[in-house]
Amino acid sequence: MKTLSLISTISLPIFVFIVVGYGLVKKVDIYEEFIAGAKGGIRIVFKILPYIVGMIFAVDIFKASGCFDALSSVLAKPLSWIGIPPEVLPLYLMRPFSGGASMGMLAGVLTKYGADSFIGRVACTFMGSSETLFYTVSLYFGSVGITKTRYVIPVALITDAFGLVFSCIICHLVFG
Amino acid sequence: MIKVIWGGLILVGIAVGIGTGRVEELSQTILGSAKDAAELALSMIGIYCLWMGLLRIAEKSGMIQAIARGSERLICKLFTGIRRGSEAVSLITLNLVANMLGMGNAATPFGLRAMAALQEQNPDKRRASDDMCLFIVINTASVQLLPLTIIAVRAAAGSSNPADIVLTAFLATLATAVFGVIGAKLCAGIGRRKT
Repeated sequence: MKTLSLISTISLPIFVFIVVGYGLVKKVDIYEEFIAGAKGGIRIVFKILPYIVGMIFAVDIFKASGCFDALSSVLAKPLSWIGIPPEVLPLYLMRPFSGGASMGMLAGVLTKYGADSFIGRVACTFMGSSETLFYTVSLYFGSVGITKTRYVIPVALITDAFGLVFSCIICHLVFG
Repeated sequence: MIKVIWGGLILVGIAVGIGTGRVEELSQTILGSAKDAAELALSMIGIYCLWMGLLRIAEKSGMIQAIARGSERLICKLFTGIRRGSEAVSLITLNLVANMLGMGNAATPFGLRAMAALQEQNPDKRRASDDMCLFIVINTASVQLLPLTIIAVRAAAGSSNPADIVLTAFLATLATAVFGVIGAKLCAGIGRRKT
């Protein structure tokens, strides 16, 4: 556990060290090239900015309208039949739309039900195995101008649902 | 697809919001969200410049090409449409590794570059290629060795052992990634048979 944590925190500085060091050894004009590349970073952000505005705008409206709460209460019953704690539902529904909001919800779930409760552990496990799907899709496809997204969204949504079910199963097995 | 979801979120949201008397919140949200979004995007500029700059050094020094040689066999087995030795191989590798190690938001800039590289080899510029779909599905399963943010949130919530979800989260993320890859491959196969 300690080593894993060390690997994770040290990977960033090590990576930067290797990139810059290797560039120097290979006689790359590192500073000039860094600046040239960094200029591209500005372009990318401005390219994806409209997609971010569009996505956050729509999600925030949906959030403010109370739809997430309504949806969670409708889905709670059927999901509890198959062993999924309904308390994690709002988190599950928010997860594909907003990373910040779902992280806030996770903190809410943990303070309300306890970080070491079954609900808390399922919520954390699910959070760790999922991503802000709609944000990623609109950014990645938007940045290269793809409009026909084909089967990506259905497959990713089903994968997300599988992630929730699997999180429950694995937490049952590991934590009992 | 995105069109329908985007429109649905807005129309359903506004209709329900007005129906339940949350007009005030709606008006505030509509204007506030645009500002929040721009602030979020602008706050990313520094990080994006940093990663794009480092990536450029890595390209010029030949490090990117070296990475591609190491990961080519695995990546090309998964992404069947990309040519060996193409830049997409190393950019996809970098994205996956950055995701795995939770490396300071580097995964998204790398991922965007990888998408650009995949787009170069895509015959229909409006339609997503199978490789692009697979890449995004793998990304949304977000394979991660150590979810540092989640551990921090657990610690803040007073967990007796904040890191005890590392194993379950890793197994879950691995299982979802495998599930996603199989799903994407199945859909790609069905699509190929149709055409």
